[in-house]
Amino acid sequence: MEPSIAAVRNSFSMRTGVARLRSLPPSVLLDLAMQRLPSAVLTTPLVHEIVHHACANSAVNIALQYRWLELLRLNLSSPGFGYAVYDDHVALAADLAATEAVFQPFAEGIANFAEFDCAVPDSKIVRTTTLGFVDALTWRLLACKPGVGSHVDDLCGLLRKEQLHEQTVARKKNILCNPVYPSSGDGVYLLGYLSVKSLWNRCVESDPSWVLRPAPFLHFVMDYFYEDWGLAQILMTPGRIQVNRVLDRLARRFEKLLNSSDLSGKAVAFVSDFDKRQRQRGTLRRGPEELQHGGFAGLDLSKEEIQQGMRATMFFYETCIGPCGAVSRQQSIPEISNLQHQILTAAQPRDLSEVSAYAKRHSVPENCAIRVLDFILEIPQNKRPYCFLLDVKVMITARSANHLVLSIAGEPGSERVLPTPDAAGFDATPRAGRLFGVVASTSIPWRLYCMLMYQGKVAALWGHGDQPSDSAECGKILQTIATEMQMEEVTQLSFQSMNDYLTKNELAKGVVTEAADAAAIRVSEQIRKILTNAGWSGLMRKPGSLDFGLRNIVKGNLATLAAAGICASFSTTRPELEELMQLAGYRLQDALEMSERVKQESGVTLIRVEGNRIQVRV
Amino acid sequence: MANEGAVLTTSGLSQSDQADLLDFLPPDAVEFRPVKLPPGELGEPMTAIAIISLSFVAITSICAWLSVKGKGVKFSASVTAPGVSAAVDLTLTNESKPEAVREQLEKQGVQVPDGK
Repeated sequence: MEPSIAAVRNSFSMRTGVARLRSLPPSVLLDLAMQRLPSAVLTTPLVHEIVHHACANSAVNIALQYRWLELLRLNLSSPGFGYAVYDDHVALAADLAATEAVFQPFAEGIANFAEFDCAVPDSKIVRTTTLGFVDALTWRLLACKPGVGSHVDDLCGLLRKEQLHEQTVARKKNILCNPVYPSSGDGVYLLGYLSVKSLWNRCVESDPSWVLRPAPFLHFVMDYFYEDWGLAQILMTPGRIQVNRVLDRLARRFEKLLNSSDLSGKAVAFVSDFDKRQRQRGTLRRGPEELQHGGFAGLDLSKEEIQQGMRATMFFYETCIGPCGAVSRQQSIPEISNLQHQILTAAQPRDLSEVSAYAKRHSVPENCAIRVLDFILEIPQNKRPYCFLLDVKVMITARSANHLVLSIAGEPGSERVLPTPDAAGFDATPRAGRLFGVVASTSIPWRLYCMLMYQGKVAALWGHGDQPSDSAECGKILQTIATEMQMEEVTQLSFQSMNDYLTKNELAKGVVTEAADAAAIRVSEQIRKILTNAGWSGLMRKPGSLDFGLRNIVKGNLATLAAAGICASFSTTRPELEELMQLAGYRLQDALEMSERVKQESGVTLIRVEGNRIQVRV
Repeated sequence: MANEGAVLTTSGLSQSDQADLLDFLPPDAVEFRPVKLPPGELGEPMTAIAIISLSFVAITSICAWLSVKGKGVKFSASVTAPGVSAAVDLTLTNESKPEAVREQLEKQGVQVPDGK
């Protein structure tokens, strides 16, 4: 692997559920779909993005997505859609961006903890340990590498090799160099990572009987923040979003959890409860699960909070998003005829089969008009349970009656052969199609469905994972993809263009960015206060003009410390850690000396040594 | 940082690359402009492009920085200068020599001041 300074950012949209793996060339995305991921491609950056999806599929993010859909509904139903933006819509967009910024440190902290701290178990412990969803994801992605097989030791060995690679160490070092005083959401990675890692440290340090591995622990942390129905209720209070209340509740719950004398007990209780429900009968979708079988242990939520949160979410859907929901209050301008507006808002006849099916699916009363925009708004809701990981434009040719060749236009050498039962309809002439890859579950079992679409129809369909033949699930995903492609063709709109509609206006973009940056600064301030009382005061002091996170207090090569943290995810006993560090090209002794210097100079403990056991706290 | 003379613009640098680069370049010789993700998106940590006042001292500093980064490092940048119509693309490695970089730029019409 060639170390590259140029970094291209992978990302995940919490609004649309779509991942963009920009760091991988399209031909490598084809390899991923074929389950032949090149060995040079690191697995954990992909885990990072899919973990964002796991957070997106939660009570809090459903509420956030509803707020985005409310904004889309107002935009799409406004008579000026396509050429005008309205102040009340911009205000909502600013609120939404600010609220998302409040969650960003925690979202990134969770994803980075998954990336750097969640080693998969080996055969010595796999039968006795509790698994987390990150284990399932990592195993499956590792198994996409050629020649790995499925033995847990092979998978663990491959992960160790990848994690000790200089690229992974550089990725972690980069997190540690993020500022302590960020000026926007783009700089909150260190604070977010330290928030999650501090929760982990507290469990390790306070509970001598602590045995939970990082992956199930992370499931607890994720649910603690994202399955908070009390927060959903605040988000779903109609009108402007109460960003300060959201921030206050999130910060108070984080502080309460970090300072709880029973933090480890809560984590263990949650994991046991979840595991028990899964084993006994399998859990329902979140929401119905809590409604029928009660809230999960350890999450500090009352029954009333859960019920009120659910009620608020349903009420918000009915009044702000569904067909009976509000539409834009803006008046049309008599001199301007907006054809797109007319198409989007015209009531559709109930006797059309698609319309009556929609009415049945959503129990729409007769007095509510069903509009084209209602069909559009249904798509992101259908996409939310799934992570849309791949969307690649491909050229399709046939090699034989049962072999297609997929390639990337203008990329020589990108041809990949796809065995298929039926290649009829294709010949040697290249035809443009789209390849989709959808992760259908973030739990165990795990499935990746791949669909090759040509002219709006499925040309080939295959899957990887434990139950690739779940036809109902696969049919639902296919239907959603086909509907979205149809929408794009008919309306000339995409969710990307709708999402970016307001911020294409420079004034609106300024308002939205300013609100998001201000919220990021406020949440960072809260996190610093909380972490100051958790042993990080030496780091949280305001630095001089340059703020590069841990580099503010660590003199020397921060990569040594980054490597120590990664190595400690595989073993915390001194001889094993020494060996792992050596494999990564570093010396444990250097990390320990660095830690000692920092302790003396700033009072911050980066590495704790207890006999033969070594705990790296970053 | 004044941008009136020739400037060298890098591709996206990670936060740790920015920190490492400042070990070699004085802070007032460089300006970092973050590449932000659009609203609603989460993802990998921020990168920033660095805009550096072009001088021989700056080139020497960048080459020194790259040389300590290890083998096989590649670094893309482009240089714009008054009087030169198109941007000049540069690929630097850990083995790049400042004199050779200066010569390459001057061949394409970019004057490289000594700097301080």
